[in-house]
Amino acid sequence: MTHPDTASSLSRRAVLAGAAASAAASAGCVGPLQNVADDGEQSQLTLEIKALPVDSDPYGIRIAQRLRSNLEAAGINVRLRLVSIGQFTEQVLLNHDFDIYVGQAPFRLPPDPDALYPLFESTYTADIGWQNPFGFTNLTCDDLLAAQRSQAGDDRQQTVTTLQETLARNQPMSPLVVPERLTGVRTDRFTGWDPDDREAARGGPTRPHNLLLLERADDAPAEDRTLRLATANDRLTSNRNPISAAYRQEGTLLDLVYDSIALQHGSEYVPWLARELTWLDGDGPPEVEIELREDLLWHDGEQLSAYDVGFTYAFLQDTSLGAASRAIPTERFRGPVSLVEDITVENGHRLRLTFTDTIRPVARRALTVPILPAHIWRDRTRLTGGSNRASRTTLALTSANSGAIGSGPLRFETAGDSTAEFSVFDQHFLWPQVTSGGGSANETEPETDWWSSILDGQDGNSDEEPVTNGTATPSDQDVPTVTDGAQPPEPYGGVPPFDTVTVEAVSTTAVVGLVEAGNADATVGPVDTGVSTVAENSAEIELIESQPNAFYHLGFNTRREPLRNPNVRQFVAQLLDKQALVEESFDGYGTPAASPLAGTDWLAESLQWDAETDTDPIVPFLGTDGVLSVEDAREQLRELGYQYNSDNELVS
Amino acid sequence: MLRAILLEVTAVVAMFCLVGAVTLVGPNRLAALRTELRPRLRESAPYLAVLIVVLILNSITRDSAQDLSWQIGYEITYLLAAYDAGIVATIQSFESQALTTYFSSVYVYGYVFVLVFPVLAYLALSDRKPFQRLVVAYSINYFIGLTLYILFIAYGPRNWYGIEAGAEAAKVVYENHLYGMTGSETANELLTSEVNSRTNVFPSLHTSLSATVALFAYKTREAYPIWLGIATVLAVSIIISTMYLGIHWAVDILFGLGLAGLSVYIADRFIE
Repeated sequence: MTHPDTASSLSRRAVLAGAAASAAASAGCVGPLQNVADDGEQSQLTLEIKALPVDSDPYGIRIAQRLRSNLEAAGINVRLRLVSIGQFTEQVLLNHDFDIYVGQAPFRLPPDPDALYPLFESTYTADIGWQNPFGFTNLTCDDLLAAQRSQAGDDRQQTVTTLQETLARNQPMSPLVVPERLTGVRTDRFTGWDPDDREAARGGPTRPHNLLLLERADDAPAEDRTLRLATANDRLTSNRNPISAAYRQEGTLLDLVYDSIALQHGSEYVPWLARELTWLDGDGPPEVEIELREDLLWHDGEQLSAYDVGFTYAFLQDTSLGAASRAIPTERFRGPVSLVEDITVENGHRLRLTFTDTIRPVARRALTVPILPAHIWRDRTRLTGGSNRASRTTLALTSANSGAIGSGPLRFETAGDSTAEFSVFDQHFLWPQVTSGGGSANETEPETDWWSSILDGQDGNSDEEPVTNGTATPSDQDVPTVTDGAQPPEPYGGVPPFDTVTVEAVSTTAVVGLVEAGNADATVGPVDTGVSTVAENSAEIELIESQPNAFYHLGFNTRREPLRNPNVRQFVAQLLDKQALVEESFDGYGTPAASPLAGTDWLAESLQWDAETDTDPIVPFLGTDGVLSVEDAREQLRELGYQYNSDNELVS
Repeated sequence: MLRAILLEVTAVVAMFCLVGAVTLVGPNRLAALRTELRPRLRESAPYLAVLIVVLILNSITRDSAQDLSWQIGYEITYLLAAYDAGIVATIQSFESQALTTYFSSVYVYGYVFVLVFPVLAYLALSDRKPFQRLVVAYSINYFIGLTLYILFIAYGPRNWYGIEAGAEAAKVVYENHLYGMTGSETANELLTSEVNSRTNVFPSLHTSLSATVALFAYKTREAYPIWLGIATVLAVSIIISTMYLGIHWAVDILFGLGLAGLSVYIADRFIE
């Protein structure tokens, strides 16, 4: 911190000339990018930025380009690298081969603060996937993460606030913008897209479970029973493994292929595969007794039993099931799964989960993991090497799971180069009456009286106390006497107006074209802002804006110099004007963020976006209105002990 | 990319070829072709076989080549962007609806026509050499182009410039325009194939193949004087369109031109 400041005598003009020179010089070489501080010889500091191409993400590159030019102005050499979604997963999430990435958070729904646990807990640095990809190790942070798991009420709120402040000071990642997700939908075949029109529903219009709530347009052709979706994410066509690390798999149709014990529906968790969840009262850690629905089937016709559920929790904790010397856990859901201490399968219908010392709102997150068929996955415990992952792993995590046998409302059918097709699984518990007749929904249209009787049945039930795991059920209801299977949870259970769902994977601009041309009913995931013009010009296309919490951020690899230094991370964060980003790069579709919990009720008071100064409370932009003050930036680096050489390059 | 387009040989291209055959090739040569087609094809069979093998290799290795490329290839987008020196941005700054329509059409139909028509036209010549040389030159273009695609990974300007307002407009208009122009099925195929090959940017095969055709047109100007003019105008338009639509960098064009020269040179040497 007390380096002699050799560059201080340079005039501002020389500084700017140097910035231009360094930008030009950066064109010169291909090769390893690690900044190497040779003894004696000082080389320019080089940072690498990884971002997705516009075809996959229209906004990430805009952020990356701004960051690049500002880093270059500060005298740092920058390599901006575009990587495909598959390569992002492989390079950043599996191999931690990055300096800085621009990306979106792995969750969309307003999360419980415990969603931060796997992201920042230091024991997860050796893990892969969205589990501390930053390599962040901070004991204060660990303590806070652990504390919030077992606290309740104001204590927890206070801990979560302190946690956010610690994260903001340390900047293992720098939250930038909570984007508004634009979705283009056609209303000539299906209606009911807008979740705001529905009670209690959450998430965007193409949140997988919301698709089940669509209605048929009045003038839709009767024979046309295919829901066509267009996305820029091509993962589903090549990899359908719900537990392997992949860039943002949440929110894909896999969520409808695999069921979970409970379904997060807004702030509620409704029993899903479970007909009933009974939280056992006691002084110890939480325990939940799960009573499964009757006659649950896998897509291949096998019975789904409590054994499968028990298997899933054990398997996700160690996919080698004890074969490896060290457990090889799942690459997703690691946080929630780590909450499960003990699994007791009582019989084919019933099992009990005992949690670690935590509170019920945190524990219930473990009920949302996908339940896997034991008869398929228990053969995937074999250890394998290589497979682009740094450490040894199992077949369970490297398998593409191309068959994708689940138990959910959608059954995977086929996939091509850029398409995937699913059919409605008519034996799903959501539609019990369809299966009881033995007929298929594809062949027989439900009759009206029969249909209304289902609805009546639901309406009748809705007055009763909904069984959610947020409240303890009286013990006398522990053994329900209903034998014909519990009703499907509200508001699901209506037969969807389609038999088949297709997903076409193209680019963020082509998805707009597909919707415009009538080849797709809706866009899924990121989309070019041109969609708003298309919607304006067409009576059949609507633009729906929703705000998921998949905030854009800079991810720093804190394992590497110079990003190991929190001051350097703060400096890099200060090179971006978040407000200007929203206005210029997001065309206004977003809000600036200073905390990973921005946009939720948990946001710390001190990290609210400061509307008056319009700047980040912890890492304010080094400049005004999006224009960097080069002198301030360089001054800050000098204060951090960096020096400039005669070419005005930052040397380390 | 060629494969997807050829699979859907559009009525437009067929019609242009027909008109071209009648006006440029002429009735006499066409009449001769009736009896001559089989022996001429038989004589050139080895060359055609090589071209077909290269094209089949391309289509079956497409996906694995992509993976291989990420494993062993050099990622050079930032270099292409640096050496582009704003040329693409300058071209895109002339963006207008009329230009977009023109360049989109040329990029899709003009390109296919430029590739297909000389095959027919040279087959109609009693001299077999232009035809054989053309086929050899096509094979070389593809073979070297695909090899370079494996060795170098790069994204085009449309994936790099997130901020460039003009570029964005052209890009959206282009893709939406494709739907209006080709009918949605064709557009689907086309866009899909583009998505699969979006890192296949360096060098520009659109440039190298259309420049190859223009070079051949110059060499056969005595037989087909009008074709030289048409081929030149189309080739130049196609080359500009790849930059206007944000698909290629200026450096890709430069190497595409080099590849065209090389392929014509080798073809000439190979078939004396």
